Amino acid sequence: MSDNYNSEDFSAVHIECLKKSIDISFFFIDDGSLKFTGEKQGDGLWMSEGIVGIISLIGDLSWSVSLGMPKDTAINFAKRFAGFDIDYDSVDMDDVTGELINVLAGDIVAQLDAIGASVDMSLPTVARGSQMEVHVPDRLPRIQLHYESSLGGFALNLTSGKFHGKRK
Amino acid sequence: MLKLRALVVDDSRVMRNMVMENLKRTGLAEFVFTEASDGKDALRKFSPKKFDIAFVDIHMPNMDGIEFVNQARAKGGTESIPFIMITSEKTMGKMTDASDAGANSYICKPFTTLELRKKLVPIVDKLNKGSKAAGFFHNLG
Repeated sequence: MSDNYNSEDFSAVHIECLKKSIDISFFFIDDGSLKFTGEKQGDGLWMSEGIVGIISLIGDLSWSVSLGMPKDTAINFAKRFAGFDIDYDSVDMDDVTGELINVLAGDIVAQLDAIGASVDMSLPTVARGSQMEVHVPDRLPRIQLHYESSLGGFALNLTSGKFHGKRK
Repeated sequence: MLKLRALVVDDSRVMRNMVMENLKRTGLAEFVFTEASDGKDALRKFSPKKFDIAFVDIHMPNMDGIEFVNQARAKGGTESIPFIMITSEKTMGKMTDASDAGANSYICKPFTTLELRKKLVPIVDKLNKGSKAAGFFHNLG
């Protein structure tokens, strides 16, 4: 890890890395409609019906990165990313969601590497459901980046392993 | 047209389909595919006489792509077989690990047919020359 790198929580540099990675990884939304709509601090990621791809980054930083897509977005993304229709209720949808978070995390790792933070990534985990909320332990720093596009909206949830407050 | 027996290794079925579809679209060769779902599966299916080229994901369960290439190269007789890593991991460290294991080239996910073609042209050209010289050019004409 380089001396000039500060790993305290999520700095503006971290957020910039994430945004750059979103722009690069979601290149298949090629009509210029991908738009960052805002960030939320502290809440869990909630969806009425959707699918979530999760990857851990471990090393100089300890992050959990989740990509949450509502059902319609997932169907549209899968078709555009893979080039063919993929049924929402199929194993292939899990596959493509895993691949999307994999590509995104791969780029985040590269962006972090460029600013001096070395991390390895886990294999992806995929979860799906209705009235779904991704919870993380209280007091862990977390942030959500929300996006809209012609293919639908989605959110990136980032949780740091860095603990805030006193352990019981 | 050159006929190439290609091993495609990825734990994602969708990704394997995407790789195979994009390879067909490059128009560089007539590909005959064998799929493997991780490094262990690939190692079971791999033999130097059975394949002309291999496309290998790095990030896989059971055995990753770098370990597969390492073990496949250790079998010997693979000098003429290019191993192309297809990966979402873009750091120099991973590329170096892959190269040290015996990978010839890599392409980062996500990629377009054009990017894949660009990467493959010199490799297929070399294979074409090599196969002609060795007298086992697969002419489908």
